Amino acid sequence: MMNMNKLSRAGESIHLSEEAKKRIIAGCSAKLSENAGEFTDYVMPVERYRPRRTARFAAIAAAVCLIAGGGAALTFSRLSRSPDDKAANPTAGSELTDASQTAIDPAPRNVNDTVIGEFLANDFVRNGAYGLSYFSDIQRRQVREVFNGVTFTETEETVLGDDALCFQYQDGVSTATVSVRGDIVKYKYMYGLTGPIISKWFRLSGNIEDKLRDIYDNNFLFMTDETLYLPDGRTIDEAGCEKIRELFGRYSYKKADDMSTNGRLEDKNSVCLDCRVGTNYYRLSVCGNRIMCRNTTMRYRSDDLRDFDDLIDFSIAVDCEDLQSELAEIVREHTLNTNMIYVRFMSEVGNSDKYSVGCESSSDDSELTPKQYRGLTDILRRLDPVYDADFIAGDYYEFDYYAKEDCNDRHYFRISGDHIMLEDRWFRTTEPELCSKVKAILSGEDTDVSDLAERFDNTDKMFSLVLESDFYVLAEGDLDAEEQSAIRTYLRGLHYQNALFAKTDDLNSAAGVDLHSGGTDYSCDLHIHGCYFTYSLDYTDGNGTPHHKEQRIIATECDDSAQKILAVYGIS
Amino acid sequence: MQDNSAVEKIIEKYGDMLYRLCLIMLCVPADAEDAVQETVIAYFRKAPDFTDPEHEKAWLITVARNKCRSMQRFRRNHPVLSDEVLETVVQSEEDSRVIEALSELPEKFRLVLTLHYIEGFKVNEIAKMTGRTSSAVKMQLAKGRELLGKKYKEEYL
Repeated sequence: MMNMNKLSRAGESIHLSEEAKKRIIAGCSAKLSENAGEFTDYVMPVERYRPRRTARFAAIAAAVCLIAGGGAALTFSRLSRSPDDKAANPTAGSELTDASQTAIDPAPRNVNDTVIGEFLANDFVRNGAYGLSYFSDIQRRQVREVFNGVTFTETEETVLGDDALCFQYQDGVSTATVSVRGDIVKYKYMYGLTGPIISKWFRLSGNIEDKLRDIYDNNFLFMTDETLYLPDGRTIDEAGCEKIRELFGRYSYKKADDMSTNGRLEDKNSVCLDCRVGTNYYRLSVCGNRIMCRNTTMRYRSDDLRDFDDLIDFSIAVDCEDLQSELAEIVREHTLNTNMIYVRFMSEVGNSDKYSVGCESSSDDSELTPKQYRGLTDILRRLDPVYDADFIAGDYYEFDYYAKEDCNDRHYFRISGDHIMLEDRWFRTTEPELCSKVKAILSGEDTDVSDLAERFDNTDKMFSLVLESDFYVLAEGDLDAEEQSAIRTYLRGLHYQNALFAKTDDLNSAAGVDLHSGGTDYSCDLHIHGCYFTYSLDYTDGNGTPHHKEQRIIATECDDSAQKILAVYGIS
Repeated sequence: MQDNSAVEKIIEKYGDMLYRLCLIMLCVPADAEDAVQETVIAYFRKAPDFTDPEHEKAWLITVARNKCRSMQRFRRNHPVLSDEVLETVVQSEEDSRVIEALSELPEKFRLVLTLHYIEGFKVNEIAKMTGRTSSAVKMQLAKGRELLGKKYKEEYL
């Protein structure tokens, strides 16, 4: 065992530096000045409502990526590659570095070319209206080929407009951006947030904007590994996803000017798929040889009241007769009837040891009591989901759930009305009063602690209470799982009856063994001497009132329980 | 609106303690500084009337812990790579190892061990701060000690 003085000393060696103090003080002052204590207009950061990716989904997720074309999409709202985006496509950076070596003329032509060459040697992404998109391998090569052979001459001319083509790379520290307008290019390199910035203008030897725009507009990238859903929430199995990717990869695409069927392909004839790209959701509707893409991210942001009309739709023509039929066939064969999100969720809930409830106020995030936990679990286990609910706004309860031994690996879900959100998707449930029931459990209205008292008075139940948590021998520390199991088995095998003791018969001071057990809302100490058991129970009821009870019992047909327990523990 | 001196006073009084706690919870110095800052802001915006200095301290710790949890949650969903390491904060190599071993424990153990052994809070005080029972805290201390010792021994001895 480690000497705890080491920990104490190590901890005390940590101090805020003077610079850090200044930063914090300045930050506090600035923020407090912004909004002097007013919370009435407090809006939670958008990030809080971003679709989240949990550990278990990280295993199956990578990215489906759509590149939306068209001039209308080229208003640049974000300039950085978010960690989400990075997470969605973790390999995007490395895979192209090698390929780029062949695409770029290895001989530096002049300093200016080298600058651009360095840029092209990196992975890059296109900056689009709804966040960043990633280029496919093919598209990257095409872009590099366009740049290859072009000469750059530094110029003072600055002619960029808002709709200039813009693409960038970011490696976590530095960001480089190239913007193209006609035969003018702006190259901007920034190191960190406060580091040096290089900004240069070049005139190109030719007009490459049209060529680049053609590459941008006529691209539909469907990357691997993301799980696909049908709009009703059912999942396509792995083999199906693979076949669909292969199908989409078989054809070339051309941006279509018109939105066929009046801009909505989601009629009964079309085949719709939902997919996620980093923080964004998209719905693909395939009808004949036409694909319509719609950014549906807002649907899944429960508190976002922005109008859906803001969503961008775009239409892509596929160079085939009928993509829809082939897709429908795959979907028909590979759709899982059960909703995998829900199945996984219920499985995890069943195996988790704790919930904690999180509210918006930062100071009242707390673990649920066992009673609340049981109540919530009971409700959740009864639920039948109704797929694909579009839930827009409303109050909600958010819960973390996590395994007892690894509470860092938390997952979360939200409950609101008769809706439950799992893995960023809302489901309606067959329990109309779901939220009311949860509220009753959390508020204590549904908390009856009489069972604790009852269990205390009933010896068998009392022991089940003692033994349901991990317990340990007070004098010696934790018992391992095997030792606990042996003691549990032993105690459960005994028969008990009430024991009365004379005042002089003070078993608490007698030599024996002390076991301790406890949950989040109760604590039980058990003193065992010979065949006698003295236990005390402290618990807090739903109103926060503490209670204390004591009782003594004797184990029948037993010579010396304490010695047997100590023997199990190996300390007799 | 608060003037700088009020903020300075709080940072001077509780800054190191909060920073230690946040750093051990988050392991990234910059994130820990952010958490301290958010905690202090919450203090000026939302602090109740404190009955005594201990109450104030306990409130700050509770808020800091929750800020850390929120940041951990955010970080899980928005992973970033950080070059910052604990060695840059903890001067002695041995101290750094101890803190590193501590930071690898599950959150609940990290929290109670920090509060008990570094900040010197008693079991019942930690129980109040964290909303757990004393017995649960005792259990977590016992288990945490064992895990810390094991981790330290496995990785550094």
